[in-house]
Amino acid sequence: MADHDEHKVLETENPRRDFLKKAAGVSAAAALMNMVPAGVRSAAWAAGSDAPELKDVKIGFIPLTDCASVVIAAVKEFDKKYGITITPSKEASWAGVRDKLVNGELQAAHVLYGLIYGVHLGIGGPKKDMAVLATLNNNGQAITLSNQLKAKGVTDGASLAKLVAAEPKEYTFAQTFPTGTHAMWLYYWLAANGINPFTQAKVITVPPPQMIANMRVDNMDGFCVGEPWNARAIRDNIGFTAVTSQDIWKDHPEKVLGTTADFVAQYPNTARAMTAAILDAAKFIDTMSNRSEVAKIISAKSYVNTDFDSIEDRMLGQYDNGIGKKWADANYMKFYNDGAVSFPYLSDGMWFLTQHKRWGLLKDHPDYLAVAKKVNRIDVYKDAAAMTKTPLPKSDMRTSKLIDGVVWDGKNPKAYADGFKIKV
Amino acid sequence: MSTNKNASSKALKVMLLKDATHRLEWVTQSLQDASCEVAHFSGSLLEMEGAILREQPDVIMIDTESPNRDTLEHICLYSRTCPMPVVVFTEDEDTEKLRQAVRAGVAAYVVAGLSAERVRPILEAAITRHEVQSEMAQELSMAKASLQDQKLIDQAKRQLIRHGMSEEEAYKAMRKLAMDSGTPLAEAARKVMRLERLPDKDAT
Repeated sequence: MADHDEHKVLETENPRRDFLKKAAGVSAAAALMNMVPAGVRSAAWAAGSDAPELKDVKIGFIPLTDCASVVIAAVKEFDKKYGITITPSKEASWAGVRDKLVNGELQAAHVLYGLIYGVHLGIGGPKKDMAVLATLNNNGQAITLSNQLKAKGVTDGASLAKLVAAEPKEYTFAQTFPTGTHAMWLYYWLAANGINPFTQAKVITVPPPQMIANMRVDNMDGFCVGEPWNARAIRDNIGFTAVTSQDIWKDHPEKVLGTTADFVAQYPNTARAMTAAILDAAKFIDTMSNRSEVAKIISAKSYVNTDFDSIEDRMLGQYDNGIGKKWADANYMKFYNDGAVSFPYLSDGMWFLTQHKRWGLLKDHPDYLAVAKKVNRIDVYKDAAAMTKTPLPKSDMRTSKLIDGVVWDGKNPKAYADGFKIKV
Repeated sequence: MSTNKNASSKALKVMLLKDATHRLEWVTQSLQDASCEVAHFSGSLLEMEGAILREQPDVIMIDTESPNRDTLEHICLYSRTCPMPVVVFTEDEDTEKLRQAVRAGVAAYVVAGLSAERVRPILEAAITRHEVQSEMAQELSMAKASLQDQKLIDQAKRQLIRHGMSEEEAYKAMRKLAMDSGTPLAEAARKVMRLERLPDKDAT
């Protein structure tokens, strides 16, 4: 009944006059807001009905260079600007990150893109609706091959393929999680060089900080992992960089800020605040004059726990492959790139599904676009982008050409997934 | 493999996966108190799969905070020969967290300080649950396969009808093909479809 009465009142007012009055109010308020310093302004935002429902959030991370935006958001207090406190939580395994996201021990995590999609579809573990709030970084992973392979004349993918054909044996390669990004880069690169990762090689999973130790003692032939562990392999003189992930796919999506769909539904303002804090941190990290400081901060024992030099060089784009080639890489690890990194492109999410299908992790084709639209929370991201003045791309899809020359634009995922010569 | 391993008279074989940072004395002790046979694995990650296959445990156990969990995930996901349930244990006694984890379908948990009488039922429940899940997965894949077979047979039948056979003749022809070659009907249908893909004189 109350609804009915309200309707009547509205009808009696002149709608156009009402609209003009409101519009004038909005622009006046906006003008006023622009005169207030940024820190105070967001505090005012936080005090309103947009205030985060949950003020303390624990965000999980694995010791890798690309966890930087989570750490920096907390250390540089970008979180406070949006009314939340982020506590970075160092985790021992991706399986642990997944479990803690699913059971709510972690509110969000620095997590492998493909893992979030794997959990959403229930590949090899619990099935739960997941959410990607933003992409944390592009580039900055690599494939390291052992010195034993170097001694046999291997320097790159082509020479590895030659050796595998000439001397077949069980070549062992490690990645970091079965549905994750490194598994996909490794399989993609091997297949692009004509090596079937499942019939001509043995693939295992090894936690990132243990890659080097395992290669040293176990005759592992190669691994794909994020930095700083490829740079460390060269410093420790156990292997060399055969290919960087940016050479497999320039500006590829890598880690995401991941959480569950339930969390976003229950705490939408916290989800937005978290995303905004991460965007500000990403912006800070991509200001190159800040990078040495960032490298210093994350090298600490409580974060990546490795020597500063292993982290810093490649963060600055100074690459050395360990077998005589040094170069300045324009496609070094990026965290922001004017928002081009951070936007959760639907085509990025769909790509991981196409590879899960390609390698038999998914038995049937999923509804690629529908899944990506559900998982990638472009709505939350756009609100956070507005708060941080992050530019938005023109489209929810992007086009990339990968190392084998095949173009991915998100338009025909089924044909793309089925179109590879080497697959399961 | 036997499906009655969880009969309470039989000793359960538990394989404990060690890592560098976690102590396992308390788990080993409570498993032994619960009259389980305990096998330890502390070798290299590359040998984990081989060791599991060799030991054939009823249950695999690993610390919830062990970095080696990812290695185990990979083995369980890819290896068809390793269909054992995984039980995660923890020294963290926050029961609410555990309750949530189990409800979320993460894994079965064993907590430090649990009495021997309570350890065994947890392991047995994990085994039963794992068996039910594998059976369901198997039934689902069989159902899917038979649906696909039926589709294939219908397709082949339609092709033969297009060539002038009656429905009954088409079915009989395929059945004969299957019986003559000693293969299932679906395989005969596949052969018919393969023939169809060859260049057809009538089509030109």
